[in-house]
Amino acid sequence: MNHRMKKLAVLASLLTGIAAANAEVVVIVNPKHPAASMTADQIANIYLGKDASLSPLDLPESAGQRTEFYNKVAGKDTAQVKAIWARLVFTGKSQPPKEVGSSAEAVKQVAGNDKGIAYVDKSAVDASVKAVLTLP
Amino acid sequence: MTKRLCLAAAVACALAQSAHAAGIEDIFSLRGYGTFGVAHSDNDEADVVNDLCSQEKGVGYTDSWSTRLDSKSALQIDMHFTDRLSGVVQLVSESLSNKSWDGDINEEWVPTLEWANLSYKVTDELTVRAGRVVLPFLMSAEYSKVGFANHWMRGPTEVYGQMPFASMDGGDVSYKQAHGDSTSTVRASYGGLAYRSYAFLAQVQMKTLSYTLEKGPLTARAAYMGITFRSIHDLGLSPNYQQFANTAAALNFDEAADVASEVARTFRHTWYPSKWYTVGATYDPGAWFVLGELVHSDQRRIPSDYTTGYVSGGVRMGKLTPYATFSKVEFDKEDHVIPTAGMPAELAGFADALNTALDGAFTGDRSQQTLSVGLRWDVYNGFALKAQYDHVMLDDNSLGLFANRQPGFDRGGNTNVVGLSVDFVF
Repeated sequence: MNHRMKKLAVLASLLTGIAAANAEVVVIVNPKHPAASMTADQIANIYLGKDASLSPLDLPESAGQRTEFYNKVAGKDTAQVKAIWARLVFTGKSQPPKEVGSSAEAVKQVAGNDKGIAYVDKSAVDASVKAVLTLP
Repeated sequence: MTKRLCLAAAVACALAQSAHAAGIEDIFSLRGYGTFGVAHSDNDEADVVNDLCSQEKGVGYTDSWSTRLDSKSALQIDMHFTDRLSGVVQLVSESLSNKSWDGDINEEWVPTLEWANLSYKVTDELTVRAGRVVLPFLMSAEYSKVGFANHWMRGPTEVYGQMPFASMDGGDVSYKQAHGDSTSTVRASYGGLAYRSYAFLAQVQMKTLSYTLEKGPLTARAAYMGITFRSIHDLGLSPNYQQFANTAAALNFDEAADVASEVARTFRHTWYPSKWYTVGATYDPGAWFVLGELVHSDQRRIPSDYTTGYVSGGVRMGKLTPYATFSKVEFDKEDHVIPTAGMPAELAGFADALNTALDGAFTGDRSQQTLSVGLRWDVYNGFALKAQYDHVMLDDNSLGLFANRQPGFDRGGNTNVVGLSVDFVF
């Protein structure tokens, strides 16, 4: 392999590596939250209305991370989650997670709210929030 | 001067910021749900209805095919005033016939206020609500009208179609506690309503108490409901039954006299109590689910005591959820029927006439079973398509849970119902 192709190969693998790292979805909470990590069940309970101790945020319905999150953390698809929330919302029991436009926006809101919790692109995570679970 | 201006500017700035932070869109949200459905019944001598006391017209006799059986729409306004205080108002439009206080029959589809209450979170465990709430007796009662929230297109009429009151005005208290990986909730409610149906007017007082245990895929529940109702309309049966009771007692037909005076008492303007008991459970591990409820209605003679229940289950296969339900209601047939054994012909004739009048008007054996099979297809985000077939089997000599029975109605027959619907939420 000549020198130029070698450079391209290295560049290509670097880019793929970065892309793969960016595709990871991470659940974040405010740094003031006492736990260092949370289980999928605990997070699922918050996102399905069973536990009201934290204020969850959702990414838009079109976001791949949202589908992946509910699938891996709660084992449910979009329709099931919607039906579960319909039972809570239309009986006046609770409100579904607030929807934000992007991972960056979610990080900003969780950083500013002691009770915030969100699932975001790993690439959007910074020191203002604490990661408690990385999706497999 | 400059200092004051600066201070004023700072305050104005702060106010503007906080006003923007808690905008109107943060307090109020508008939501809704609905079902558009078409159903057909092959029994042209009676109507299949969803709600026996509030639906005068259904599908079968009135129309062979109709949208009125399953179609409904609802609009809800959620108010999130603070972290602790919220409110909800929900209006539902469906095909119900209600008599207003002056006796006029309201038109179908007139929106009714299903929910209108304020909810206050006293602590993380304790929530108090005041206002109009849907009666929380049956497991799915609070969301039975939200098609999208249920797997079935139409729930078992034997269980869900015999609860004439959807909502009540009053209050409820709910206490929820987590122990390890399980959660238990105790809920008590108390309230009343002026009940208006096409059949009668009544003042109703009700109280419920329920206990729910959730652990993983299992939810188990037990509930009690006490209802006392007073019928405003004099249905004209009381004097006749009392006259019979007096005559029978004089002739020493004590059992007959007891039954007759019980009925006479029921139809007078008096409070009449009834007790309801239910247990239910849901097991939903995800790929499949099964649920069931058992209900017993006690001391409620018109219609007579009954026991009812169902089992329903389904499998989730991608966007498709095939399901099946078996439901059954068994009425205690002997309650109000005046025994005529050994009576002289004229007295027996009187008793028969009364038995027939009551039988045709309100009660009589309505025992039946239904087997339903259906399919739910979550075709698109927020929309679910459903198809359901019901085979209704009446017990011998039973009138079944139909409305609008015509002279040619076959007691003890079978009826087939098919339906197609679209459920949506937004």
